[in-house]
Formats: sequence, structure tokens, C-alpha cells
Amino acid sequence: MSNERSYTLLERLGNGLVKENPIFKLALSMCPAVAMTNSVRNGFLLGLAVLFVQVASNVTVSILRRGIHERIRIPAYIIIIATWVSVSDMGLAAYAPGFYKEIALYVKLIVVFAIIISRLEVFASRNPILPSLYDGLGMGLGFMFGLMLVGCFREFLGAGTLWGFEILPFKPFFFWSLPPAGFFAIGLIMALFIWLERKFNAWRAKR
Amino acid sequence: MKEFLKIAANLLAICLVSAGLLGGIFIHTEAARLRNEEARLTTSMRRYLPKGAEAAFSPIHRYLVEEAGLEPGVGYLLPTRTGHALLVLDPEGNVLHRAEVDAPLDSEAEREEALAHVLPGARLHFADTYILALGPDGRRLASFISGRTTGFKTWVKLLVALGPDNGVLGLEVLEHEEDPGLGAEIEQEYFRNQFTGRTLEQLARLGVVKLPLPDDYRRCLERSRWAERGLDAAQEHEVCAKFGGEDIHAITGATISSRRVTDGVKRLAGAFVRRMDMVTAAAAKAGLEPAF
Repeated sequence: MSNERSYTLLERLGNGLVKENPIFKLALSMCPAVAMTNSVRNGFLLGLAVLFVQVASNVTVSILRRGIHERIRIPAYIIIIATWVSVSDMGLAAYAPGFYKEIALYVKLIVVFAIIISRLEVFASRNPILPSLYDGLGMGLGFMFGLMLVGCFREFLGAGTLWGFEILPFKPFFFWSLPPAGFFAIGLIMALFIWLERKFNAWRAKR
Repeated sequence: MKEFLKIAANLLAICLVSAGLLGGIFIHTEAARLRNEEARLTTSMRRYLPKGAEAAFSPIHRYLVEEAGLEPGVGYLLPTRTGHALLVLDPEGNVLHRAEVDAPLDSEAEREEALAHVLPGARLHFADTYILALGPDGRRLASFISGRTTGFKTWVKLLVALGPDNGVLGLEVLEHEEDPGLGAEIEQEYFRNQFTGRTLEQLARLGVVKLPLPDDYRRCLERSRWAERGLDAAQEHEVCAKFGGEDIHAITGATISSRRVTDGVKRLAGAFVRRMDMVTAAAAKAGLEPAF
């Protein structure tokens, strides 16, 4: 099962942030990306929760990869993800109540995020611990980056603020704060993202 | 068959490890979580007391009481001038049972033990707790009603603070699982503070409107930001008073959450006032002197 390819931290970060960005390239976990990106702060907190669970689940599955039976791997992954979500929920509630108050909502939501289980299936179940850890970091940060980018776009245009701080004394286009605007924002940024990547690849090929 | 057993054993092992880990973490974290919750509740309540006021928090615990061969009643474990007493009332407010309680009542286990001693053979089901903030002279400075209402997704736990005249002092959202950016906005001051200052009569008629919140109203509702924005408190109170008679402005994209919280506040405050009137009258009839 083990992949021959060697994965470095930088390569995995680049992969998660750009090459296989969960939102703009893989188009996974789009529901939260649409629903919770009307502010940068929401995007950051959700991204942070996903980052922790992705890294912890990737490492766990990588450790247990030879012990999990092929035919029950999906329920096993779900149990692992749910366990880490519950552990972080209980741990934060007890030892970081201030932070928990901010992040509790997001932690509980991520059990069913497609991005997490897909990385377990595609990567962590086939690779050793270290590359799986790097992949979790790359994908988690890539997801956070995607959410924050959409959040910046929508919060600035919809509320005239960034991270809650007033940038414009008026709301330029309130539509962008409403839930359906998430589809438009992601579509536009996705198009821009792919266009920029193609331009960059063409420029690199020329050199 | 062998394969089947192998799969079952594999899944069982994963579940057992997961359950063991979660159980262990729960045992280690639960006490700290409860302490944090209590501290948060006390901080939330202190916010609604007059600055520098000396106050003692006196809880009133409510139970559903079932006794063999008798109509079910509602039991109130309340503070009196001399200690504590249990008053069991029927739905019309008639006293079914009264007893002085002379035992420690700090934890739920202690309360259960004390009640089992006072009402042997009866089954008591805990319902909720009201907390009264009493001044040194026993005057009620505020009443805190903690209860839950349905939100858009799951339960929303609220803390409604009422003044001595039963007008709303404020609303705190203690727990909820509404969607961030949408229903989760019920936590924000611009929504919660729309309830502040409503009298009980106004509250009974209160509705929810799907109209945008005027900018100056929103500014005055965001009290914690007055200083940062250089706003004059007296002027902002005037702005709030101007809009104070309006219905609750629903949160954009979360009308259902707004409606459910509004209904929850109305229900909790209305039930508290009705019950307290009933308990006060019944206590007088039963020869008890409540501490409030």
C-alpha cells in the first residue's frame, strides 16, 4: 500500500494551498464554504477547527492503516474523525473556555466534512505518519486559506468591514452578506484561481 | 464466517478504543467544564446588577412531584428567612404539602437526599432553577431565568434577567448550535439588547418583523462599543428609547432563529412571573416567610 513517492512538508503545503486546494480545486466541503464565509473571522475559526481534526485524523489513520480492515474502512474513519471532534470539544470546554465559546459551533460541525474523510481515504491510509501529518497540515491550511479568501471578499463587499473592523462607513453591496452570495463568491474566486494558475504554468513552461 | 468475525472484531476494537478514550477524557474534563459553566453564569448574572450592589444569589429549584394515590404537583424548594422550605402546589396554586428543609442543598445530590427525607416515597423530577439576586435587606434586585427554547437547528439555552418590576434587564444566550453568520447572530448585542427595557406587558405583545435594523438603532444596541466609537451614553439611551416600542427586528437570513428566541423569552418570563405570584401567595397561606 505504501507509496514510493517522497513527500516533503513544502510540497504538501503547496499541494493543499494551491494545487489541490480543497475549495477552489477539489470543490469539497462546499456547504460550510458557502454558508459560513460571510466574514473572515468565521472562515478562520472554521478553518482552525478543520486543521486540528484533519491533522489528528490523518496521523491516527496512518498509524492504524495496516490494522483497519479494507471493507470497514469508511465507518472506521468516521469513528476516528468523530472521536477527535469529541476530544477537542471536551478538552476545549474544560481547559480553554474562552476560546471554546468562540470555536464550539465550528468544531461540532466538522464530523461530516467531505474533505477530512477524503484525505483519510486518498492519502493517510496509504502513507506513513510523517507525510500524512504534512498532508493534514497542507489540506487544513488550504481549506482555511480558501474560507478566509471567500470571507474577505464577502465581508468587505457585504458589510464594508474586515475581521469586524470598519473599513468603509457604509455597506457597499449587502447582497454579498447573504447566504446565496456564497455560491457567486466561490465561483468567481475559483475562476480567478484557475486562471492565475494556468497563466503561471504557461509562464513557467516558457521559461 | 471467519471473514465476518474478523470484520466485526476489527470494528469492535476501534469502537472500544474510541469509547475508552472518550470516557477517560470525559471523566477528566467534566468537573472543569461544569466549573467553567458556573463561573460564566455568575459573570453573566453580575452584569445585570446595579454597579457596586451587594447581592446574594438565592436559587429556587422546581420539581414535578409524584406521590402514590395523589394528584401530581409542582414542588418549589425555596429560601426562607430562617432557611429553606419545600412547597408543593397543585396546578391551581393550592398547597398540597409544606415542609421546612434543614440540610445542605448546594449540590443536586444533596438536594435529592434532603427532599427524599422530607417527602418519603414521593418521586421528584427536577424541572429548572430560578436564581434571585437579593440585596442585604432581602429586596429582590433581579431575577434570572435560565431555560431553553428550540432554535433553527437544536436547543438554544437562554438566561433572561428581569428587574424588580419584572421588566427585562437583559438577555444572554448561554448555549446554542445555530449556524455561524446566520442563526448564531442571536448572540450579538444588536439582537439581544432589543429585549432590554421591555415591560412584561410589552413583552406579551412582542412580535418579530422582517425589516432591516436602522443604523442608529443598531449603534445604540451595541453598548459595549459606545466608548470605542466615542458615543454619548445619554444620547444613545434616547435613541434606544425611540425604537424601544418596536417589534424585534429579525436577523437577516435567520428569521426562524429570531422568532424562536423571542417566543422563548416571552414564555420563560411569563411563566416565571405567574409562578412567582402563585408561590408568594401560597407561601403566605402556608405560613412561610420567603426570603424574597
